[in-house]
Amino acid sequence: MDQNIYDRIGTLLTTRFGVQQHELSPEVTLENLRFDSLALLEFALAIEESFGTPIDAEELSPVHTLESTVELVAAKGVTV
Amino acid sequence: MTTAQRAAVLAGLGAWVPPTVVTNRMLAQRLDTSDEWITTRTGIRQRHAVDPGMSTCDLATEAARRALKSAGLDTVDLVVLATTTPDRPCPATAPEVASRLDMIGVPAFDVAAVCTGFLYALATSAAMITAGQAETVLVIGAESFTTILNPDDRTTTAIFGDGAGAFVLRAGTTDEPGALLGFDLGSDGEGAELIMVPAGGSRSRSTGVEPEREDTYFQMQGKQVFMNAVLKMTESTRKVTDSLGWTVSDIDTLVAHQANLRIMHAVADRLGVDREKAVVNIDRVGNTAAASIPLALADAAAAGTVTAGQRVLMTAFGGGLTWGSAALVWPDLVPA
Repeated sequence: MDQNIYDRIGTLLTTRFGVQQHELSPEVTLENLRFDSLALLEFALAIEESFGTPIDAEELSPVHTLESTVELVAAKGVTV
Repeated sequence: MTTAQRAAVLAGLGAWVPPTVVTNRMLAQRLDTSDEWITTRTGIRQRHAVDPGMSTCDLATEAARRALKSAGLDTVDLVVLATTTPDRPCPATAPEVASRLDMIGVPAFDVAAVCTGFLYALATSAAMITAGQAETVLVIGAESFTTILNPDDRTTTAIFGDGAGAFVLRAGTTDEPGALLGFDLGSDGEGAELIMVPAGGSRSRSTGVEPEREDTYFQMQGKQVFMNAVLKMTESTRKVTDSLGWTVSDIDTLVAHQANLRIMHAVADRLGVDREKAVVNIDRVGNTAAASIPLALADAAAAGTVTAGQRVLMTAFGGGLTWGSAALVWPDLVPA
């Protein structure tokens, strides 16, 4: 897992989605972080804005963990 | 120093909503939804709905009367009505609005761009003024949107409402408060299926096959619409600010189409505009499609949250797909 991508996603979650620092872990799912269907879209837009790579509406789901979210972003060729 | 040029100037503003209110609790009594679900996902607490027999023409005429009064005018040179829900598939509704306002003989036509309709109508009207084809124009956005909703669809039923708003434009110059300073309009027909009423038009009727009931109602692909709405309204806003030499921090008031509170917040966040600068009345009227921007502005003007001298940026996204933005410095208007 790319630690730099993980850290930046963690910052997005704590600064824009009301997630507490202690809630962050590679295994935690977006559902565990109280994400509803619209929050997933807001998160996809925030990732696109932060990393400059588009994420489709269907690509993120509540069962995504932070680790699998990092892998999704990394698979798009993002380097931080 | 730039020389002032002929421009369309906002001279009057009015709005009207039908008196019947439908609250979230009322919807929850007949659909699998709740006040909490609707409020947290849309920011909507209630919407207005036309009573049986009422139509878009009724709403448009009431809003137009108020805008004309605000402008101190009895008549104009042109009437343009943006609507998704005309009184009939044929003819356009604008001529009947003009007639009811004692303006028989005045040119009048409808514009269809769904939730972007008002900005398309505004751009068209402003162009008629700058081209010297009209000195005054009545631009209306009006919808009886509840009439095209599937009563069994808990999503669209929760979002949309009925209402009307209107601007009166007059010829003036670009250096006056109220002058419409810049526009951006766009479309992408490849996304037509994201927001549509599938049946009722020539594509369906030419088959000779009776349509499925749900295809006669409005349908929307929520996720894709959410993403596209945020991206396009942000991009379009930036095009207008760039064209005017404004920065985002120059925007005093952001009037985004009242699609969904979370879409409006996402647009403000992405632009870097303070959410407090966004005009919000979706909690009281829902998404009124083509009526949304003038209705929101009329509410904001009445509440004193938009005042003379503020730099106002309007932006919308809707079916088509269509999107657009426009900017002006708010003038000193007479309340309707």
